[in-house]
Amino acid sequence: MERKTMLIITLAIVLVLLGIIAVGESFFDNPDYKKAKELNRMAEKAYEEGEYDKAYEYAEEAKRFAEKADAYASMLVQRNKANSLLYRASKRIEFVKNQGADQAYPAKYSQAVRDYETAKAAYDSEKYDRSIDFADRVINGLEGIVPQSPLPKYYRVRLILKRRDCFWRIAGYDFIYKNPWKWSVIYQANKQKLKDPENPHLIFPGQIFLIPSINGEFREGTYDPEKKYF
Amino acid sequence: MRRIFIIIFAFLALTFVASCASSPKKSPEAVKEERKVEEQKETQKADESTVEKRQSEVESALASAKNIKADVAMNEDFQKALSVYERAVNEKEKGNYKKASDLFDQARKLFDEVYRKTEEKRTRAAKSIEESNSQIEMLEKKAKEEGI
Repeated sequence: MERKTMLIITLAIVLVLLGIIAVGESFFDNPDYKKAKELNRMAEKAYEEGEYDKAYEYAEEAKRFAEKADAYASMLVQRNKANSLLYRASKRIEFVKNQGADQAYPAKYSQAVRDYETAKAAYDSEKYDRSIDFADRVINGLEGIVPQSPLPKYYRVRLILKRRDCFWRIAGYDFIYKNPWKWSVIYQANKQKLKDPENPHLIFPGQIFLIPSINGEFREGTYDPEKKYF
Repeated sequence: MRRIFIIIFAFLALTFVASCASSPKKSPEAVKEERKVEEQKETQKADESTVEKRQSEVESALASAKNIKADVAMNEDFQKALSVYERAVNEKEKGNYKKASDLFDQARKLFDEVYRKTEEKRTRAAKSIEESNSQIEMLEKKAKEEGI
């Protein structure tokens, strides 16, 4: 009984901590932003009451906190960008390695790995601009490495009686994203080609859809069922 | 007929002589005094008119100052002006129009000054609030656009 209670308490604490961490990530929960809003409200109230000196002081203080909040917002934007680029860079390295680039282009590959490590270290030490710069170097450095069997850039909708094509199934194919949950990426990229752009369920055999590169993977040509993709 | 005319003529002559004898002649001092009283009356009337005008002006200045909440924003200065105004009202009630008029004038100048300074403070605060509002709005827009 005691053990069970302890477990529940521990779980509750963990959940609360996770909640705090998650909440802390949102800009709208930033203390400086909240303080700026509060001071702004106080300034407006003081103004209404004729306390113009106080109103001015509150508003000036609100501006200072808003500046701090702005710096925080810029940091979050940079961090998100760095995070996304770091992920793309890691996927790109993984992808070219699977294509044998470490053997075929050892210098380029090693340089990319070093740049990736630098980008990661910069990210960990919150130097997001530097991280973005090095992650970009990885992606651009490996851009020229074209796989021997590139993944398709276009997909022609097939008429498969038992298992009809839909965005969900297309995204799930190994040579597309291997992940059906990514269906909306294809839908958004091809929305305007659909008969009813607001209805992603209505697609027809023969329609050709663009498959955007989501992890920096190289894509070329239209899907060929006869061809093998790695 | 002739006799009747004589009687009427005599009666009129007697009446005229009697009236001349009953009208006393005023002394120059009395005339001077009378003129002085008249002048004082005129001056008092003018003073009354001036004081009314000045009071109306100061009351208008007071209302303008209160309208922008100068009684809160610059309470000390506002109270100072108000006390001068109240003194002016007291003097007016006592009939000291000249003094009241001067005090009303002084109070108006004080209220005008309070108004001017309050207006400066009000404008400064409004500008700062507007800037702070727009800064926060821009921040919120940026956060929404960036999805942070």
